[in-house]
Amino acid sequence: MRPKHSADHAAEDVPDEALLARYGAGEALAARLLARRLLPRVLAVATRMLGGDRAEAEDVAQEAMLRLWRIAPDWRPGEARVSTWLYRVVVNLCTDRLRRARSAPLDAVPEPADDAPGPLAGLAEADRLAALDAGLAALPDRQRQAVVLRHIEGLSNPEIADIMGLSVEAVESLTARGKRALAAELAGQREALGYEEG
Amino acid sequence: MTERPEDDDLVEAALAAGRAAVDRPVPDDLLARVDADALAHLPPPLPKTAGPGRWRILLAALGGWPGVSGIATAGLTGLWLGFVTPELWLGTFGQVSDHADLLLPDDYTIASEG
Repeated sequence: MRPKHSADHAAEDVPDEALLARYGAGEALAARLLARRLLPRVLAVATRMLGGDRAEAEDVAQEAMLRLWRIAPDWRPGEARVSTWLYRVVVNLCTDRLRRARSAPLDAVPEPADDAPGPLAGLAEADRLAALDAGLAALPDRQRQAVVLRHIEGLSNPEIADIMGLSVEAVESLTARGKRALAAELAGQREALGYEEG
Repeated sequence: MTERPEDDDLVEAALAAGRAAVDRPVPDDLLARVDADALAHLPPPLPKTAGPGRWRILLAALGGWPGVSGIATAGLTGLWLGFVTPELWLGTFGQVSDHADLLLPDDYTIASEG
């Protein structure tokens, strides 16, 4: 963890929307703070949605943040939470990329993998992450989105419904079916997840 | 689909790995690109507005526009009444000494005569 800028500490309690308004009013520092606050989650969601493809996920994260910078001067306070808006953009960008990838020749589609070095505790954790990405990649788009937002990001069903433009009931159904389908996918990967067949 | 307890463990372990990965640091080059985008699209600073002027302070002290409109309405109403029916107000207040006994209680009159 790099040392935080002193302004980062001062802005910890400032809501996302206030920082975005400050950026919209021409304050560059507000964008710096907002990027460091929002990017980790944006990148994580994009990575899981894109089957662990970190390079594609970074492109999506950058594009999502770019759209945030562009909309800042026209942001209407109170209409939506910044994080909700950003999740929606990420979900849509990932959906577009996955559609394009499916229509591309098979050898052009990258293998699901997440082998970037990180602070994960050892190989077992990295293997579990790779298995998760492979399992998620096998799910239908909407189920994958619902599972990632609910069980990895920890969002509430109403928030997810807002992001995905669905009813809360539809989200509940998607999440339940997605989790069951994920379990079925992972059952074939017990070894990678460090579980023995019992 | 048949669900088994061990399948739940598998899912939970994998999802836990996904949650842990959220805290992975963002690569410096991505942060640099995002910062550069933000600077490239930085809106022009809003013009500095001076502090509130005297009229704004006065307006606020009077309760804002609703307060000022109330004061103005009351003043105009008084002017209008004074202009349209001056005898009414003179009769009530201006010539009050001619009818002073009307304003005094009966026992006051008796006591003063006695």
